[in-house]
Amino acid sequence: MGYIDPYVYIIFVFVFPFNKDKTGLLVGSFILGLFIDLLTNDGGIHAFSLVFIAYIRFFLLRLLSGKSTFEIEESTIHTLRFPILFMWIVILTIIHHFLVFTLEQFSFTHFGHLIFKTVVSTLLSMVLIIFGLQLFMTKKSHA
Amino acid sequence: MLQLIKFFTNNRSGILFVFLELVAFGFIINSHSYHHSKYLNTANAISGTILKKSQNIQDYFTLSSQNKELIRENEFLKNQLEKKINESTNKTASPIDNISKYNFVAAKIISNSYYKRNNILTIDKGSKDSIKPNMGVILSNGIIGITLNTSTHFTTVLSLLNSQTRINAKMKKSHHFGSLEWNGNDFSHVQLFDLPIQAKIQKGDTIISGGKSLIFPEGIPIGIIESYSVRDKAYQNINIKLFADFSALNYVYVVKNRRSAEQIQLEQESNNE
Repeated sequence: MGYIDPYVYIIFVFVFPFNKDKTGLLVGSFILGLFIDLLTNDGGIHAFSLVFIAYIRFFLLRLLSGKSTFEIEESTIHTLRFPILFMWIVILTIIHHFLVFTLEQFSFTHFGHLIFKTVVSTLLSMVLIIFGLQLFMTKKSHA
Repeated sequence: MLQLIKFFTNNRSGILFVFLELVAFGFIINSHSYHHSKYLNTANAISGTILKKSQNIQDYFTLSSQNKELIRENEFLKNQLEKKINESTNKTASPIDNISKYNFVAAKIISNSYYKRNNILTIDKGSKDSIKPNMGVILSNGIIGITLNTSTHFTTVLSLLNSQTRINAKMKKSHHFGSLEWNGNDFSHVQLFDLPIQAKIQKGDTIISGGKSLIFPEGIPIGIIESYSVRDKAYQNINIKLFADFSALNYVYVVKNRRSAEQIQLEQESNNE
């Protein structure tokens, strides 16, 4: 195939608690991203992309849910309504994948290929992420 | 001053964000000039060990295809040996020819990559096995890449499937030279550039490694011409289908050229004169 290239580690940004300090999220994302880069010889591509979606995740959630900062800090990933949660994850995943593949190619000369790769990989990532979140959630409800 | 401090404490996460992004971007730029990408590469002990462990587990699932590959390779080498024995009984070779110019070190790929624009592989041999940067990495049926960074036990390899790789190649039948590059689209095809129009080519012609580089031995089969076009009295888009399957690489050989130091020195001396 050679086109599908899903990344599931971004689940970190989704499950990081909303009420915790933003510094922890950013630094954590940076370290996780660098770790992935270290294993894949990608320079700093994953660190860059992961820190980016970690930074915008809060603004995006405010935009999608129409809630205030305070209300979001009170809520968790389990209390969010599913359509909002789903849209939030889709958008962040697309942004992340697009950044990764763009930085990897370092040019827009094969733009069609880039978009195709982003869409296909996002689809597979989404399936894996939703599945992973499901595991997280059921574990929580039993506890 | 107080306002400045207030600004920084209020926008702490914003400033941290910009700072982290700049650092990450610095790493990306650094990785694109591959001679300098010394910081973040898999030739370090930590990621090397992790990759090797995970590869060891994955190996169990490909045992039968690995066996087939080894049998095929054995058969190829047996035939080569047979030919050599016949040759040496027929003529008396000069003693200098008996000292082979190259020797090979078998290495295992512990991290393979073929789906990105710029692919880098990792192998489980390093400076301990006297592997240095700029050595060739081959299979019996193809060129894989050139070594990049080495640590004690691991080495990264600049894959043929990388925008920075240029490899000297020639036609098997006519000895015309060209340069192999990859356009990033399909990992089973590479492109041949700078082939002179005087070379008569046909679909299905075999391309082999040229003897011009110090890195690769001459005559390693690379692939066959699948399609080409002619425009403005020059060849365009010569598409080469590779013999080697980059998605299923397992064991490779690192080429050590025993005479490369001698040859470089000689060429420099000739240039100075």
